[in-house]
Amino acid sequence: MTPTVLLIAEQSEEDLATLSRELAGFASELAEMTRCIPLALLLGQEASSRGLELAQATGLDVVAVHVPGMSTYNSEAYKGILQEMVPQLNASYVCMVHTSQAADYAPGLAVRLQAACITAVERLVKDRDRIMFARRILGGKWEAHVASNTSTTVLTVQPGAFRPVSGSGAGRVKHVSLSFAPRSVRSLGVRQERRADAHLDAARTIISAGRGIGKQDNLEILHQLARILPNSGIAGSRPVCDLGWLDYNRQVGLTGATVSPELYLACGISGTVQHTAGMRQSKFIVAVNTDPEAAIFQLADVCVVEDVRVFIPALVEALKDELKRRRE
Amino acid sequence: MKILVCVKEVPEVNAPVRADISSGWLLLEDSHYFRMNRFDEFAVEEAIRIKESLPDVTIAVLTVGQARAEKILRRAMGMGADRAIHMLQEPGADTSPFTVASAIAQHPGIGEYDLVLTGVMAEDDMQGQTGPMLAELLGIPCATAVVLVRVFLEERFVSVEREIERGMRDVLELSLPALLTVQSGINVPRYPSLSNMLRANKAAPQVIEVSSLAMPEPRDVVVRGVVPGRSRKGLVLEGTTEKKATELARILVKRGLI
Ligand SMILES: Cc1cc2nc3c(=O)[nH]c(=O)nc-3n(C[C@H](O)[C@H](O)[C@H](O)COP(=O)(O)OP(=O)(O)OC[C@H]3O[C@@H](n4cnc5c(N)ncnc54)[C@H](O)[C@@H]3O)c2cc1C
Ligand SMILES: Nc1ncnc2c1ncn2[C@@H]1O[C@H](COP(=O)(O)O)[C@@H](O)[C@H]1O
Repeated sequence: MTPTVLLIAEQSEEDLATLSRELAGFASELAEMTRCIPLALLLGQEASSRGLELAQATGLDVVAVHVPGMSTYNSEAYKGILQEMVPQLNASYVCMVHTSQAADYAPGLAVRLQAACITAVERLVKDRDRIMFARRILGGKWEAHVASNTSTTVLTVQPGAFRPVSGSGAGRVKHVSLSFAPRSVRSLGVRQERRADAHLDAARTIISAGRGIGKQDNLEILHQLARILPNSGIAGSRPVCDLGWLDYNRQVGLTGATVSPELYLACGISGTVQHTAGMRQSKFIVAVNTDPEAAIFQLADVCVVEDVRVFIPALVEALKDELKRRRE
Repeated sequence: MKILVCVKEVPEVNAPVRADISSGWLLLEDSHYFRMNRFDEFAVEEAIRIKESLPDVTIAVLTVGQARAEKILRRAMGMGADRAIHMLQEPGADTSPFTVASAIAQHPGIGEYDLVLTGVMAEDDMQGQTGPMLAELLGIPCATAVVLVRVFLEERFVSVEREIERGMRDVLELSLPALLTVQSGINVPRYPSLSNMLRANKAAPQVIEVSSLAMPEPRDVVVRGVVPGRSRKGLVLEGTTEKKATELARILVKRGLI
């Protein structure tokens, strides 16, 4: 059997189509480089119907593993079943989208498979015959090129990093049924804890505070700016919300809101992937940061290397001057 | 009940990084550049809160790292941990999650803990793998990105909530012993207290040389590091603060944002 690049889709993924198309884009690129065959796999109690969806969305052949009674993700079940399936399918690479679920089971699965595990991959790099996986380190400031030393490698792929495959006919679906009863991890379901602030969706300008603003009182200077910029809202990075300086429904990022305003003004935000996941679609990005190497500058349209506490008041004055001039 | 908290020393990633591009690696020798991984402060704090809510809890903190890393063990003890274990590595030793997890798994007392806590991810390598790999090596259940923990010691399980996408939480119970990776925001980490720091300065950590252990070959290698390219224009404003402010104000006016 030809070695495979095995893509694992998520059973309860709302946007199964989008994310698995991206993952298929990655898997196909990798398969071509390594002369493997891309193949998709999906588990759960609804694997049969979702497997067809997946085969249509990606054009890949799908192994649909029907697991009676498994309605949600369970790490013990995933690791147990995949540990069995991966060698059967002769997978050289096992890949999934870097979601909370993949982050939960990929490293453990890798240990069971005696495989290397490389997470949050953003790019494939080929140097002579060596394949390397590019991922961010040091808060996104650097990109590390990582190579695997093992015959099987587990990879998680950063959402949004790879071009989705475009539909080219459906693949075939092979149905398998397996039972698995977890013993040490009991899943009790998921619940909605909070929702992102609807106001952020409506704002034309989002002024976003990071830990670099220093203390809660300094938010006042951002409010002053917000009062001048029409239709603007205040948001923040996770640490700012964790510290209670802003309410959780104002958090932007992977575990907060996804926004795409006309202007995103990042004030004292370092720009890790977990934050930029929620704002990189913004139409125009301005970043203010004291560190000229901050990762946020990599995706800014305008970079301001300044102390926010000094710069924002100066900006407020400058905007007032502009307004005055306009009135005259 | 015995709790182990794994803590990592990381460079201050928000200071300008001095990098040697030719050798492809970072120059980070100044010790003031190093501190405890922020996510680990939440793990230490969570352990202390469990200790405060249950009888007979002892907390050990462990780090795998160079001699310099002793500083963060003292900080953890200053916060309220009872004892410290330093698995000492030579400078330049492999620090990939699999290597570190394999070292921790060989710590002599590892089988005694009811609960092992780690941070959700390290700020420097951003892998989030050491905890789940350690759990697997120990053969115990694991949950990541945990934002709520309740321990039922008599019944031998822990009830947790994991943060997942779109504001949802995954609710589950794990049999003890278990490993949890702790997400930020679960608590507000306390500062070390003076009396605890004095105690910490007297107690020497237990030292184990990693080179004396049977370590596996690394499974992945960082071949090089590069400065990522820009995905947008990245116009850098120059001049005095006022000049930059005026220029940005004009850009915003031109774009019709005011
Ligand atoms: C699973 C997971 C999910 C996550 N989800 C999210 C999420 O949804 N949203 C999110 O934001 N984070 C999220 N994070 C956290 C993320 O990894 C970072 O820790 C976080 O984004 C950093 O926030 P920050 O940029 O405000 O702080 P820091 O990284 O501490 O950056 C502060 C920045 O301010 C600059 N600075 C300091 N002083 C000044 C000054 N006076 N003037 C100007 N600049 C200054 C510094 O140079 C630095 O760049 C998540 C992490 C994990 C593991
Ligand atoms: N060298 C280390 N020593 C002790 N704990 C570590 C070490 N490296 C990682 N950890 C723990 O594992 C977590 C995740 O790290 P990582 O897998 O490197 O992202 C950290 O938050 C620590 O709790």
